[in-house]
Amino acid sequence: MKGKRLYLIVLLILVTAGLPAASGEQYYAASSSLSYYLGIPHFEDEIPARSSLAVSTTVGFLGYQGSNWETVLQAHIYSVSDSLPFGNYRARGFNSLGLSILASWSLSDRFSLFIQGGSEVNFYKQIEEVFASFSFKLGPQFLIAEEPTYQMHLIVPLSVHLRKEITALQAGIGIRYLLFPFKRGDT
Amino acid sequence: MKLHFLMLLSLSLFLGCELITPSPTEGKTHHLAIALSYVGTNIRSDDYLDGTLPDAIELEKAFDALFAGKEHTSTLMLQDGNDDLDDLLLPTKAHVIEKIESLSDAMDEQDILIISYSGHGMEDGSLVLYPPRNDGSIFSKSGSMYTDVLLTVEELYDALDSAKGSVLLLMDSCYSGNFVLESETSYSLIERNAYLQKIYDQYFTEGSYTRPVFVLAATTYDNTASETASHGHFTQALLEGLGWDEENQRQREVDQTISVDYLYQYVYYHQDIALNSVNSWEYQHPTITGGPLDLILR
Repeated sequence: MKGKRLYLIVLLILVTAGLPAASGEQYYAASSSLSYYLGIPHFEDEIPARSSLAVSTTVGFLGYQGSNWETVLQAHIYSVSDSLPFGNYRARGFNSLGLSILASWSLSDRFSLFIQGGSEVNFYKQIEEVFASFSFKLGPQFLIAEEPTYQMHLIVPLSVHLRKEITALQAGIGIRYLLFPFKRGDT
Repeated sequence: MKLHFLMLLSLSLFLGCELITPSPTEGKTHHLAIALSYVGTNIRSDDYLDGTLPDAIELEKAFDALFAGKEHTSTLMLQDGNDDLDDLLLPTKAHVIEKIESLSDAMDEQDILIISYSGHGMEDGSLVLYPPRNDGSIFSKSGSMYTDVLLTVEELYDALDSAKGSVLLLMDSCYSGNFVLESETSYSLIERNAYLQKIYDQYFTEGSYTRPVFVLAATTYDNTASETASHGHFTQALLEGLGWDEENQRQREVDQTISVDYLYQYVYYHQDIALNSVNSWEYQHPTITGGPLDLILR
């Protein structure tokens, strides 16, 4: 039952993202960011939280930009390092692969806020175990370069990674690149 | 005022707890090595094991070297054919349980107890220990195995119940994957297909993570483990991973953190037997406890 619900959500995301793209102003996007990853365990641990480093890369393959908003469906890859050792333990590092949808609203010509939600499958780096998770991200983005065919933003993402046994908070900095295959304004 | 509070909260969160929390006092380590050759028992002589005693002896040396300068002790429980039931270090079921319980009781939170086993294992993972009989009989005259030689997975875990610190089991026996309890929070891919549905189902199940007994086992729950003349394939690679140079009897430099995950990776890539094959006796795949934490040895 839960699985059917999941497929329905994915289908809705695809339809939602796909409809506006068909009407023009389509773009592709890529982003990369580096974050501090603070894993807060739901189980008894030696310390309240463990620190790791996270690198995130997204590839947006279905994006649409309106006058003061945009939305994109994207694949994302995370790589989270082992945590700093503390006591007898460290948190295992992992790589993630998932799907997410991002939306942003412009508050001025150069400044906008974005919000992102998604889900991913995570693969521990050194052992053959996987787990599912959900992630949400929000933050400001600053337009730092613009041409008719592309835009480049500086982003400061704050995110939460919802794992079954850990809730992780992240703060970082990154770059987001939007590529417009059709000259904006053309239909 | 609210802004200052939020800034302070954010700062305390993102400074990282490892950086602001004082490190705990280093604990003691103890290595309990259990090994049986089965010489002198009534199993077929073809089933005597040559590599098990060297496994235990060399592992003891490797851990002594690894934990040199720290508060480390070790115990060998060996069965080699010259066996005396009054010897408390003879690995009968009663002696092994008693030893593990006493070591568990004596543990503090930062202590690490390492238990290694080299010997035969049954299909449910049970360890085949020395019989509590002077004639050394593991099998009855009718050919059935006495149950008092078997230490089951549950019995071993029960003996560890009072352990306050960290426990690592290094199991080099057939079907030793039975000691690796399935994680409540992650899904093993060893010899299984990953179905997205199952991975997400696990997210929504009620089970939760508790810091486990860490297990590094020679093989999966349904496969055999084998040995060369000198060691089990698993322990041979494990010794190398620990940095133990057996030929020169010294510890070589290992330029990284030695953790259970590191040892798993080392065995995975360096064991002298295939990871997969058609026939079960031709391969063995190491297994490890899942979940979010990795146990650091040094």
